[in-house]
Amino acid sequence: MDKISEKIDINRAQMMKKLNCDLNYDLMFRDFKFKYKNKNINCFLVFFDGMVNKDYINSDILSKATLSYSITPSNLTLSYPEFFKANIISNCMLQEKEKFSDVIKEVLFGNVAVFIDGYNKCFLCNIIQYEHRSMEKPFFENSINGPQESFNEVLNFNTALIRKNVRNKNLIIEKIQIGKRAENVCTLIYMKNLANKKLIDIIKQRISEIDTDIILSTDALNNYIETNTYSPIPQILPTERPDRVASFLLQGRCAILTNNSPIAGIIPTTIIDWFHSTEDGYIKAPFNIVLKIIRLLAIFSAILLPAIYIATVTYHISVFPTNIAMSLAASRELVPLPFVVEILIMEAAFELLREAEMRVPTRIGPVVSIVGGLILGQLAVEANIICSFTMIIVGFSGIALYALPNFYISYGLRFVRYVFILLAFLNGYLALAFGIVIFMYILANSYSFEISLLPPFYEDKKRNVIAQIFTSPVWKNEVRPYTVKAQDEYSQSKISRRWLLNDKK
Amino acid sequence: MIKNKNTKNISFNNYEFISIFLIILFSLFMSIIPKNIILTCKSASVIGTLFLIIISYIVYYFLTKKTYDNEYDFFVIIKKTFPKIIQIIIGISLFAFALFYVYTSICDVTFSLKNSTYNITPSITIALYFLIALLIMTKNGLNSLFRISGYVAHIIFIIISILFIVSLPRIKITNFLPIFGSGIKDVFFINLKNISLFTPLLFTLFFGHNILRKDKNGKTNKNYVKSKNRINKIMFIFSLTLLMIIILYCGTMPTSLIEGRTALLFDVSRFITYTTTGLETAPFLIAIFSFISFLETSFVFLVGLTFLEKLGVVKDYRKLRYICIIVLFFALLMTSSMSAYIQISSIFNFVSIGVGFIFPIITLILYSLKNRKSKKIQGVLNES
Repeated sequence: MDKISEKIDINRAQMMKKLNCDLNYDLMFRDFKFKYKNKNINCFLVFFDGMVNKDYINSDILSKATLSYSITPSNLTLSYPEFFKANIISNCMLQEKEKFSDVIKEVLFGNVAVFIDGYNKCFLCNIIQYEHRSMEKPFFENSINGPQESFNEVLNFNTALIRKNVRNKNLIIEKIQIGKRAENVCTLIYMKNLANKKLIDIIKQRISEIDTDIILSTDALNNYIETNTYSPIPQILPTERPDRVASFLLQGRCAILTNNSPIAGIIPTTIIDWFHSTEDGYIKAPFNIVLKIIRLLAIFSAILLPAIYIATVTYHISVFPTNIAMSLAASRELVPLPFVVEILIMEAAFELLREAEMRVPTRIGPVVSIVGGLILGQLAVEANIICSFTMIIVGFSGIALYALPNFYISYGLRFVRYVFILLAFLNGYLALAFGIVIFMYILANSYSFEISLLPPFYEDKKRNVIAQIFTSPVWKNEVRPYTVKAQDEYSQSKISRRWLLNDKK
Repeated sequence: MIKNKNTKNISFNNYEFISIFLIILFSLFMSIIPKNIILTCKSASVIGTLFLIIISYIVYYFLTKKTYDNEYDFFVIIKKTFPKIIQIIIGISLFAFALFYVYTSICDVTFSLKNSTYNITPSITIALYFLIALLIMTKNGLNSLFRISGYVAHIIFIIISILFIVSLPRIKITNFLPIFGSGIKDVFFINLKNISLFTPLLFTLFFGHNILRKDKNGKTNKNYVKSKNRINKIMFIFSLTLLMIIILYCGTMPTSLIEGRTALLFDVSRFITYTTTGLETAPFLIAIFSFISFLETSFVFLVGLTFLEKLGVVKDYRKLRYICIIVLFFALLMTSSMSAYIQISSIFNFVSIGVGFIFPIITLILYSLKNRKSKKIQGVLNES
């Protein structure tokens, strides 16, 4: 029996049964009455404690219902449900539902369900008020120049932040239900006149066809909808900044946001995004170029430096000038371990430190780094467990990993590094080349929603990887990223600074 | 964007096509063929190379013109010229040639690496890397190989240029004298056997249609004049690189020394150091050269399999690749010495001249004759 009855007792019993009233301590039922044409109409409301604004229930719904006994309202020509709507629950967003399943779904999301006697529909008042974190500074996408806003765990709040940045009627925020047992909501956000329609359809199809009990966060949702799940490289770009989401949307990309998650996922993404950070939009072009070069070097060092070191010292020592080779030999004289074991020990120690620092309380974090990184490292060198060269290489590549703009990307890449280390140990530069070519092959065959992570290197003067990585000044960025395949390719006219024309006149 | 897994849908842009072409040709520069040119022409190697470039350019100018003036690609020409059974035989022969090509290529790089760096590593261990790469990289069709080549070709070109520039002080004019080496006969006649260096141009006949200019509606314009510029670009880059390499080889060491060497490019790179005490570039170049070979062998192998599929020998080539790789493994296992490989490579040279030059010429002549005949019949029918 899913249809709401006209008899309030039946409705009450059904709601109690369906919501397991006898077991749920936070489920609240409140009976009340209101007066209509000298008749007492019985009502009750249902909600979950802690999810609604109780002040509103007390001061508006319940007190107005009591007030109907003392003051005779003027609009008694209305039917009593209409009267109830106009006088007692008039100050909130309302929905009316005919089925228990729909009502229960909304109550679980924090709405208040109000049943009145003799009416076969239920009123749902949207007075959701969760306890939530206030807006804080971005955690992993810090910026000095840009806005200091980041998402929190409340979906409506997050979508409002995006709307604040993109004030355009074509900004679409579509709601999609996810999770079979624990229903959650995610939103697909895009610009109607910019985003690739085929891409939107694919995203919608993938999300709506997920058959699982629960999806709690955007990261979990990403796992369900990405093409190559075993790839260490993220195929959906995570971001916690509303301004970044806004700029991606205006490039013609789509974003997904999940309720209870402070992270938005950007679709599609390519390796070009590895080099872009939030800061880029706020600093001048020449510095931007320098930063990009540094990031290129950082990626190269993070992935390949330890492997190159292993390959060089194991197979091709002639690469080093004689004096460096001599000092390397001297520093390793008492070290009993082979190079590869040294590197792996150090890398493992580095990972351990990283994990420890993430879990220890904030105040102790720096102490762990100092004790672990500096003191233990120094002692390991002095005890001849590892040589100082290895220490430098591991330290440098570890720092390089954190120079990457996105934490999630560095997370993926750090596992690739171990594969390269082992390959370099096996056959030096030959095996390293093998590893690189296979890595590139995996990238070329990894897709962010039908778009390869490795975009075509060169299509024309403006549509090539170099031009997209080393972005020119904002006024020169006429073309949207060519990998996105947006409906409108151009973001501004060829001469965006029209005042130059007036100056010439 | 077309998904790479769709092996039937080959998609690439002009830059990627030029890139893969450059990679294939560069891997030939690392092979034994440039050494053969130097051994044939001696000090006149530069002239000999220029001569080969001009000859092959002229031949392929007419071949591509004839192909693209009439048809979409060379597959269509083969299908229109020969009956079904001959098409299958051609498909199998071209595939066998591609397999032979991959085999010689792996042998070449394996022995070069073994002689230059990995002296104690068994050659089959080195070859295994190439076979595993072949196995992995031929899984999803040609598109991803085109994509990767777009990222690395320019780096390779820059590296060759750097090698050339850095070696300039070591180049001696006396190494180019006498101008005509051991004689005009050697340079202009016997040297023709080295034209096998240009066999990869054959791929432009089969896959070159993608580099034809596309009109506004996205349809391919079958106009050779428009596509000529792109083919010219490929040829120019190739010629320039080849000339640089040849000058590098015979300019930096006397011909008498070259005779005893096997891995020329590895040798040349070994001479370059950035300080007086060390910092050799050779190890890095080993990585680059190996990278090129990984791409080249995978590409040629997939092209061979595509021949089989497009000429109707098999419907889906994917299962065939396992058998081919096992065959290659045993073939490589049996080639244990350099001298055995040199003999095999001389056979390969002659076979590749046949496949790269004689086969397309004969096919196009037969195609023209058949066309003329059908036109005549059509004319007679119209008159009657």
